[in-house]
Amino acid sequence: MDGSTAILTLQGIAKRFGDKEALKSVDLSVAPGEVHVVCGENGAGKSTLMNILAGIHQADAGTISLRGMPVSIPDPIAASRLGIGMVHQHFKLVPSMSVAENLYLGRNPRKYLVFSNRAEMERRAAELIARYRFDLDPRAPVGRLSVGQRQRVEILKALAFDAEILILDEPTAVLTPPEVGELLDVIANLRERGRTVLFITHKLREVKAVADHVSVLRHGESVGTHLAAEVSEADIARAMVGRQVFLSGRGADADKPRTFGPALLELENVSVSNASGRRLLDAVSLAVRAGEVVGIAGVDGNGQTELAEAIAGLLPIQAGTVRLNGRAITGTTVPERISAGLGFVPEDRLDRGLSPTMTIAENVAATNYRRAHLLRGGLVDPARRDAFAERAIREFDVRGAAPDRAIGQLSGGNMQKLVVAREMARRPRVLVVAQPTRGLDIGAAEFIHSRILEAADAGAAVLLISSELSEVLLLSDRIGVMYRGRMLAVLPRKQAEEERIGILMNGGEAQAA
Amino acid sequence: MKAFRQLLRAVAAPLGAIALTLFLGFLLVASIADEPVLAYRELLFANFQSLGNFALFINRATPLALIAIGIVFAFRAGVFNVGGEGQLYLGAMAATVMGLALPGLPGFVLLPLCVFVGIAAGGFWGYIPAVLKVKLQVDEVVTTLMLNFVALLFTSYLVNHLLRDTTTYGAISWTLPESVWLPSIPGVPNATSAFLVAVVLAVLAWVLLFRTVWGSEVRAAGTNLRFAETVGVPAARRVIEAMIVSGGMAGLAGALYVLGTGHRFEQNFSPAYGLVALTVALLARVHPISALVTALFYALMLNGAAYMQIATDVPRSLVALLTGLLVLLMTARLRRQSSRH
Ligand SMILES: Nc1ncnc2c1ncn2[C@@H]1O[C@H](COP(=O)(O)OP(=O)(O)OP(=O)(O)O)[C@@H](O)[C@H]1O
Ligand SMILES: [Mg+2]
Repeated sequence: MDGSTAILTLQGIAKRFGDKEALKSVDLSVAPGEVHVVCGENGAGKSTLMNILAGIHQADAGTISLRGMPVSIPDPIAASRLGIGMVHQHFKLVPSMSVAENLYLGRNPRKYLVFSNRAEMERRAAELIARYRFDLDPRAPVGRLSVGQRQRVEILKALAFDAEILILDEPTAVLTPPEVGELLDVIANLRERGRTVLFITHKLREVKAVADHVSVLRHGESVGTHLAAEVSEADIARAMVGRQVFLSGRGADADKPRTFGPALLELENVSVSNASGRRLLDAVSLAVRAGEVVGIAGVDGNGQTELAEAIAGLLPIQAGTVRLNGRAITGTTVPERISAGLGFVPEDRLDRGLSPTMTIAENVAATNYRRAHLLRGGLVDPARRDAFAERAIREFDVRGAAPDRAIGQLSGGNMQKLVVAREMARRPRVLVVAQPTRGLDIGAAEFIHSRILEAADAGAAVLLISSELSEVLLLSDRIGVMYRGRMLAVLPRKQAEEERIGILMNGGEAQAA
Repeated sequence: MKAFRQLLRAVAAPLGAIALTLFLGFLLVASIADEPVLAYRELLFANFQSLGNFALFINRATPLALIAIGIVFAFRAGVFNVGGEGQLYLGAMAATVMGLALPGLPGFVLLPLCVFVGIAAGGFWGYIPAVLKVKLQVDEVVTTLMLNFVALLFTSYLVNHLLRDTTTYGAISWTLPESVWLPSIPGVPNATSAFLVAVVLAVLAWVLLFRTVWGSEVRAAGTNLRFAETVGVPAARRVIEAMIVSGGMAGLAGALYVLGTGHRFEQNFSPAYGLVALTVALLARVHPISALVTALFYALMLNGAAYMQIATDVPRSLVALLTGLLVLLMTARLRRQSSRH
């Protein structure tokens, strides 16, 4: 594609944060009316580049041209005036306000110049919703919407001011598979209406599904643009990582006989109810043996989160027993479980996994002060603590990290690596990992997978909870399926065909099981 | 070495803002006063003109520093403790009552007892809102503020009806036995040696918060409660403990004021130390060492303003303006930093 027909052309864009060079030199050319996917490893600079287009960051060098004219984008208002709208990786909506209010936040139609004209606002919102055939109530408070619906509000918000170019930063990371399907339809629909879509994703299958072109960023540099139809998923992965990527696991050689040790994690009829009496876990029984990976599949919200938290000691159990290494731990505290040999990677790194404003060293040391001998004379020895973090950084290849930086400044994938590093550092007997690769690039995912398998090979019992069925199938020796708080079945990998799991996930065979 | 550099960075921030405030303040004074240079000299240096002035300056800084260091603990645990004033008053009253109740005890027994009950009273006043927050999710801003009134009215009752020195006017208690009076700082007559306690405690607070597992757990609970729970921090307990320390420090400030400066309980002994200390802690960016430095600066301004008003035509309310400006400058800085994330 040559520059003259492009709607958007970037040349030599560079950006540094302090001494961190987030973008070295990025060239990109986007044709009008196309879906252009931008791929790259975690920390490659995708969000930074998009934030520059949206006026949130300013480039240090390089030029941006829109329809052949060089432009400057000093702030988000300028971006929307130029017809650029963006949906961020993390949503920016006000939960207590209605859909319509969120759509017109700060620019609502006025009555007598002062009062905001609610009726007019809701009418316009309804019109907008109808135009894109979304299923949304303009008067519903955003706090009550599902994640997928919230995202649609964000998209409408970006489109409300006639954005010609729509940027979507990892929109699919937080969606369930059916929601992803719907989003891809929305994107196709936008293209039909002549909008240009810039779309960031780590999921190469989505690239093949919707993209016209795909551009790859590596370490802050653009390494090429391809016609999506002409490249395979493996090609893109190789361009991103700079080497061949093999996603391998135990699922691939399910026929190979493995021997496992004694059951290290046992759940017996574990039940959990919430305050209003609803059953979140309903008599769940499960055993994970030493050296074994048991995967839990299921549509999000069917009790997986509660299962993990019940084992981790974060949710009180009303009935049943949890045993770790043969000892009942049902009523014990979190630190007692940690000393009994439990490692836990929570599903949301920013929620339970980390304290973003604390340093990397403190986050990595959090569960390891005593065991890793980071104390001297009862006091924290900063040299040892930093060396400990340094080791985790090196071992897990965390880019752009130094022990005394705030961990929240890292890209999502790099934060995740450090959560896993912290929990692995203790060599836990039982490892519970929830959504370990959410939002991770394929190289990082491969790396985390290999670490999880190494832990199992070394004799740990691993419970893997993931809403990515492919991940569960790839890594697990046995697969459990959860539906409405119940463990419908636990199948050996060989009997767990994708189709059968899919039926179970939707509650099929519920009666039989 | 690295720790030292970090320390320097923490102290450098408030110092920079202070310098800028003083500069802008000077422009202001120059525009309204006939003798701006004299006014400023009084404001800044009168405190050092005589040993007597210097002692007053130290006595003013000490309670501010102690309370502010305590508030740092509360903030680090995620609790907005507005109750410094009440905790201060209770600490002062408890020490007074103890000293007056057992005047016969030898000083080396009675003095530690007075200090101890002062800390305990303040700590208890921090414990109540902490438990209410942790167990019942009651907002601590409301409870600490309300408890201030309770403490002020309660101590006012005690000093007016039970402990009042009937030989004199005003709501003033009987004078404590001299055996429990704190000595002055060697070489500076009338300057309370409680200041040395504040210096030691500032360093100790830094060690506790940044060099112990307990401190890292407090800060984890304060920055992300759900993270703290997940990594095995008994978060509720840490929040309560930090608030006990916070209240205890204010209580200590009250006790040491009575023992070292006032030698008895006066109903109006505090020019809102508790609230000023809150500002001090915030301006010091919730760091115990810079809280000490900032407290010194505040004391300098508060006392200097009085000297300035006497010597020139600049009203002492200029200081209110300057401190307001300071708050503005510091928070402007904070915002710029946080918007980078
Ligand atoms: N505000 C900031 N301050 C300092 N460094 C930053 C800041 N924002 C981003 N970075 C750094 O710049 C690099 C690029 O980050 P960016 O968020 O653009 O990555 P990304 O490609 O979007 O990654 P991911 O796929 O994980 O979202 C990272 O190394 C990150 O740590
Ligand atoms: Mg990103």
